[in-house]
Formats: sequence, structure tokens, C-alpha cells
Amino acid sequence: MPVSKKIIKITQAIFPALLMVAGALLSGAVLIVIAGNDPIAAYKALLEGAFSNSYRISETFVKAIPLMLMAQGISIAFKNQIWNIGAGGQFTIGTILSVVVCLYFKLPPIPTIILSFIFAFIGGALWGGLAGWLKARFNANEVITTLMLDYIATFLLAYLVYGPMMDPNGFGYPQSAVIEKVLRLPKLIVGGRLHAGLFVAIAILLLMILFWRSTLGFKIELAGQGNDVSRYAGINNKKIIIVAMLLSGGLSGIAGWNEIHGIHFRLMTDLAGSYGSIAIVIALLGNLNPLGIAISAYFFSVLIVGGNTMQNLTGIPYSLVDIIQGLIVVFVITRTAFKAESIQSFFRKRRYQHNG
Amino acid sequence: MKKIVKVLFVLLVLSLLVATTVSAADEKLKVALILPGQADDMSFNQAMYDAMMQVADEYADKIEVTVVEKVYEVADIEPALMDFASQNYDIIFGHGFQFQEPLIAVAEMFPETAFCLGTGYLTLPNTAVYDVELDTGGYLMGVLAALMSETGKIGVVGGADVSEIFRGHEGYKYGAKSVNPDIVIEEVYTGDWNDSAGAKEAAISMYDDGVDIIWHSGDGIGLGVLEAAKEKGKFALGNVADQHSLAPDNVLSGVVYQWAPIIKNIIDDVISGAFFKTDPLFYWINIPNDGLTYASYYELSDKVPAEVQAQVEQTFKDLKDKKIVMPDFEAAK
Repeated sequence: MPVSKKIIKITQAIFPALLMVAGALLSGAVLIVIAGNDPIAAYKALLEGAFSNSYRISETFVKAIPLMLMAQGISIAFKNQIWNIGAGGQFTIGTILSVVVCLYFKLPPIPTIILSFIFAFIGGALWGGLAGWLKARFNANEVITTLMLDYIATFLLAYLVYGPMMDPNGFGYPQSAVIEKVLRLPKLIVGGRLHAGLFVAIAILLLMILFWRSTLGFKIELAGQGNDVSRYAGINNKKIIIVAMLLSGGLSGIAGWNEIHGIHFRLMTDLAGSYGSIAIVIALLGNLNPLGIAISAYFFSVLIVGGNTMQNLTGIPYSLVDIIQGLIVVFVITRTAFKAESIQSFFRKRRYQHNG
Repeated sequence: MKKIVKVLFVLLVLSLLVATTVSAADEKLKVALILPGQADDMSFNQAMYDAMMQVADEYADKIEVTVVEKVYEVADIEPALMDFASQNYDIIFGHGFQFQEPLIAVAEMFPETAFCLGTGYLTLPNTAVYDVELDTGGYLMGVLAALMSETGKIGVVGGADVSEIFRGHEGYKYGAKSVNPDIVIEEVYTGDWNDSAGAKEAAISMYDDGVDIIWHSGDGIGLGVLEAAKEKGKFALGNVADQHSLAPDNVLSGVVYQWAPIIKNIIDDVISGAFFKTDPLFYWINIPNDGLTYASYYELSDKVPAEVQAQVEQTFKDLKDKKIVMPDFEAAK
């Protein structure tokens, strides 16, 4: 009985997400038909683009690692009803501090990698925590502060690579020197880019599953239910907001560490790209559940990798992927709105009954 | 009967052989161009895109071109290069210095494939760098600006103080001073190629300061300078692509990059095998090799006195014939 109950529970959890993805793919197909193309051929090209050889399969994981880490971070803030939309900035601070540790600390390899990891986490955490503190102390809207801090991080990175951190032997190109070979994460397959950061991602995933069962995770979730609820439960709301934002930013910082040690090996402008916004969609599609986020991160990276290859080799524009992403956002928002609506109407009904 | 069959069989085999050799000779080089931005950006990407399309037409019997645009994310560059390399493309162009590390990494795995990097400094036996020698172009713009200035003040706005941009700026100053030794030249590096807002601010303060013509040496920042010129009703000089249509009343002329001759050189060298050599291989565009030209004045032609037009044309010819010698700016830095 408990097993079958569990299965029902899991299906109930996954079903809406599957429905949304199916809805997005179907509406996408309609748009492709309207544009005068064959949707089956397009989707086939997309899947081939993601899975037709070992390099591409490895790429789907390469992309999923930072996206999943950032989305896990975002989910901590979102469960607390704090809308951290600056994961890209927290990621950027993580990349900067990782490279700083690797280039300037001059320590032996193992301590360097560990310290780089800690610094990236703390840097991302402080960048997110600052927005949390502003929220707790001054009730500053976190949507605005995290977004602004995102810009500051981007410009800080640009300043560093055009200025003090520019590679002295790099002929003036806006990039830092590369980190030493021993500091790079070992590759897991020959010829591909998949690296040992995958294990870090898996470890974080397991930690996140445990985290939501811990007292702190529970407090964060409870505090997100509203001020009255948490005050009733004796939770210091302001402290929880700061802690949630620290952890939220810290995970994006780790994603930055991961990209430096596994992929880029140096700083360049705009390393975060559009990861910050995609990670939000991933967190919401995954229903803020650690496993759900892992699955939807992988789904999105399949879309991205497949979409890029599809565009390169068949000429079907990458915009198809943008459209599918956009449609998923629409469906996710619809679901959130619908949920809120149904909760409200539920309470309204109760009140009517009470009034009699 | 048997004999006839034999003869027929031999004929068949022969014809098959001929057919295969003919098709082998017919095989075109597969060329891929990966652009980091939009192909119609009126700047860095468009100059390369237009040139590649022109070469695709002229070399229609030799090459087959595929273009991918908007590869914005640095993390997506390596997979894009891998896509083409693993599909047996013969020449792959990565247009931008951010392609350098991934291009070298992929080139190591595909030593038979030719890779071309749009600005950079690392090379392998199967890779080359193509880049611009901007000092001649800058010199020409300096001459034009100095001749057109009524206030005796001209300006130049650049992105980053990178070697090529720096040489362009120095050429500009050198050219302007060759016409008018007393000219005042204001110079700003915004520090960022895409900071068009910063470039616009810089240009506006220059115009307010009495500067009446500005040349820009950048991509994104160029649009800011042209905006400022439009707002202030002053002249600006473009760079990279013919930017006339962006501000028809203000863009007097500009340096135009012509990548086509270099692309043809690269393709010829790949076919002849000269491309694959161990020495670092660089392809430069400059005025002497037709890689740099200047944009037409269009309807602003009547605003440019005939003797100025003649002098600019003469300067262009002299630069082309290498009659004008400039000092080594880099050494003097």
C-alpha cells in the first residue's frame, strides 16, 4: 500500500510538469506548421542534435550541471517566497573568485581547488545574501535588488577583464590568464567536455534532498507560507530570509566555480549568458523539488544542445527552442496563477460556510 | 556471347571508375562560418557575412558555405565547432577572439580540417588567424577628418586599447597631423566594445567641446557614436561595415573591411596545401591588399569640397602604393 501510494504521489507530482512540456511541444508544433515546416522533422533533428553521438550526449550533461546547480539555489529562495532573479550575478561572482584564488593565491593544487570552491560559494552567498539583508532590513524589493546586483556583477567582471585581471600575455584581449592545467577538473570522456563537476552536481542534488528534510529547510519553507504562519511557529522571519538568500546565492557561486574549473578555465565577459533566466524556468518547471529540478535541468539542456546542433546542421532556426522555452514559461505561470486562484477560492468558500 | 558480356562488364567498370573520379574532382570544399552575433548587425558580423556570401558566389564551383549566426554564449562555441568538424567540413571560420581556446581545442582533434580564427594570437599547423591592420585605415580617416574640420578639433572613440585598435587610433592621429600639425585630437577608449551608451556620452561631450567630426573604431560602441552625431547634427566616420544607412545625414564616410580577398586567399591556400604549415599563419587585411576601403559619401558628397575628395582619394592611392610610411606605433607606446 505505501509503495503504490508513493507511486501515485510521484505521478501526481510529475504529471503537471509532463502536461506543461507536452503542451509546449504541441503548441510549438502548431507554430512550426503555421511557419510552413514539418514539426516531426524539426523535433527529430532536435533529438538527433542532442543524442546522435557521444560528444553531444556529453554536452547535454555539461550544460545541465550549472543549470541544475543554479536552479537548486533559486528554489531555496523561491520556497521562501523570495524572488531571487539574480542567479546570473551570483554565478558571475563565483567565477571571479574562483579565478582569483587560482591565479593569485599560489597554493598547492589541492588546497587551491578547495579554497576556490569555498570562495566561490561564499562570494555567491554574499551577493545573494546582500539582497536578502536589504529585504530583511529595509524591505527592499528583492526582484529589483537581485536584478541590479546582477548588472553590478556583470560590469565588475567586465572591469576586471579589461583592467586589473587582463592576461598580461594576452595581447590586450579582454580575458584573464588561464588557470593551470592541474587545477582543471578531470574529463570523464575522451574528446568531450564532460568533467568531474558532474559528481559535485550529484552530491549537491543529494544534499538538497536532505536539506528539505532538515529543520532549516522546513523553516525556510514554512516562513514562505506567510508572516503569520512563521511568527506563530516562532521563526525569526528576517533571519530566515537572509539565510535563504545566502544559500541560494552560494549554490549559483558553486555553479560558477564548476564552469571555471570544468569548461572555461579563465574569465571573459558575459560568462553567465542567459543561465540566470533559464534556471528560473527550470526551478519552476521542477516544482521547486530537487529531483524535479534535476530532471527539468536535463530536459532544458537537451533542448539547448539539440537546438544548437539542429540549427548548425539543418538550418532550422534555434528560435524554435526559444519558442518552446517561452511556452513553458507561459504554462508555468498559468499553473501558478491557477493554484493561487484555487487556494483563494477554497478559503472564500470556507468563510462563506462559516458565515453561514 | 561471353566475350560481349566481358566487354560490357569492362566498360561498366570503366565507366564507374570515371564516374567516381569525376565526382571526386567535382567535390566542393565545405566551408562553415560561425558568427557570434547577428549577420545584419551593420558591423563586425555583417562585414564577414557579406564577404563570405560574395566569395560563395565567386567560388561557387569550389566551395559550399554554411553560416550560423548568434552563437552568443561562450560555452556554446566548442559544440558548434565540433558539429562542423565532425561533419567533415573542410574549413571552419570562428569569427571573434572568444573562439580562440575552443577552436584550438577542436583543431587539435581534427588535424585534417582547416580552422580560421577571427582575431587572436594562438595557432596550430591547421589553424590561422585573420585580422585587420587598422593603421592605414585610421590614417585615411585622420586625413579626411582634419580636412573637414572647421573648428580644428577632431575626435576618435574606441572600445578597448587592444593592439589593432590602438594602431588604428595612432594612424588616425598621424594622418590628421600630416594635414594640419596644429589640430587638436580628443581620444576616448570606453574600455568595452559593447558599451554604446558610454560611447555616446563620450561622443556628446566631445561635440559639446567643439569637436565637429569623430571617427569610431569599434563595434557596439560605434552605434553610440553615430547616435550622438545624429543628436548633435555633427559628422561621424564609421568603421567595419558601410554604416551610411544608420545615419544618412551624419555618416560622412568610414573604413570598410573587405574580408573577401583574404577569404579567397585562405581557400586557395587550403586547396594548394600551403595553409597547413607549422609557422604561425596570419592573414591581414589592409589598404595595400584591398582589404580596407572607404565608404562612399552618398548624398553628403556636395558637403565635401572637391579638393578634399581629391586629396582623400590621393591619400588612399598613396597608402595603397605604400608611399606613406608610418612609424612603428607599438614600439613607441
